[in-house]
Amino acid sequence: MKRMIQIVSILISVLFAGCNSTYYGGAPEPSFDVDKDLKQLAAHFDDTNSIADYYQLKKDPKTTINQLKAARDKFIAGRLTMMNIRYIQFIRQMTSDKQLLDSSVEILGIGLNIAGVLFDSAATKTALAGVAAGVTGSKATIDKNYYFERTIPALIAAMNAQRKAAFIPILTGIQKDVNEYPFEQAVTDLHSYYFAGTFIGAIQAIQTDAGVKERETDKDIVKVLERIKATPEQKDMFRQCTEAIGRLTENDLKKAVEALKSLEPEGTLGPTNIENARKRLQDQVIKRNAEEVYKEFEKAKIIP
Amino acid sequence: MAEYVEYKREIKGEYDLEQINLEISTEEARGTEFLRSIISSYKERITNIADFKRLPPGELLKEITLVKQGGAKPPNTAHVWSGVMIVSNKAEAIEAYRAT
Repeated sequence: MKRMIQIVSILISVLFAGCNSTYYGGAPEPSFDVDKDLKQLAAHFDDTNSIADYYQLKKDPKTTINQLKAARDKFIAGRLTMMNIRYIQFIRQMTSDKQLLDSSVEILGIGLNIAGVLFDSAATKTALAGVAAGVTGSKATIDKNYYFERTIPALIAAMNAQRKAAFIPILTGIQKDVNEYPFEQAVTDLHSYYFAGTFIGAIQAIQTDAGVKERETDKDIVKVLERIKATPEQKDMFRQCTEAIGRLTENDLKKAVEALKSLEPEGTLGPTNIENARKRLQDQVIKRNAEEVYKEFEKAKIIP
Repeated sequence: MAEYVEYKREIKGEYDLEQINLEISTEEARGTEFLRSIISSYKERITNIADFKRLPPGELLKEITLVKQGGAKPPNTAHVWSGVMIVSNKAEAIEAYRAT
């Protein structure tokens, strides 16, 4: 009878331990204190995380190309490690799917290895090893069947895949010197890497994969406009032009046609209705500089 | 002019916050809406790349003001965006408010 009570007690304990997982977003309670480890790592990595520090070093004429490479790599490793640990924390809140966690932890392992090589301080290496062991050790215990809605696992799978893809240029870049893989490129790649681990990034990736048309649209969006330095006078001119477009009526079609003759030198057909004219005039306001467009609006008496 | 439905423009990181405000409000005076800005690498420099959305022709939004995070919220405005921008060559946390 005593033995029976012991068995029942153990079973109840196990069951309650299982219920405890609901407090951790469907994953078991972490077997290590990620926050504490993160705090310790942040104390070290914060020193290496400053963009300004890199440029300060670059300004110094005594700095060699190898020192610049070392500073760049230290920055990359610091950012990568912090991003990876935070990503694991983020994922843990949403899933207990072992495969998904395995995939996200795998990349952390590579990041930690880079950091381990680059940071020779014994204390840092110990802290990094602790986190690596903690994360990989705890994931081994996640075998519970805990199902969230199917969307979350799909998004996490997409994020994991995107992060791996975004990690490649960083890994390749770190092998090169600062002329071949500039610091600025590393910052952009790190930004892409971070973005790949977000729901928005995952959704965009899914959408982008949906078809060639979507990819072509993405290419168009990449265009970046460069403008001359704005002045309050230019702002005022643009405002006046846009307000004037808003006031145009069918009776002003002639004026609009007149202005478009000069502003659209490609010689497209004149607008046949005021809606089309307003749209085309606004295109010119977005496209051209203030003085040009204001002058033509004045000439055509669109602006009184 | 499909490329102007939503577009990106550079806002140089060397500008101070006053000039950045002027750049954004001047862009909006062209009949557009500021959506967001990210720090990115462009033509081998780290800079701000801002997204703008085109409004219907002749439409203008109320004034937008960017302030450093922790700064006072301008009166009679609503919060529309927060993020990080390069201001006077330094990364700064920024909040954007629009007049209501």
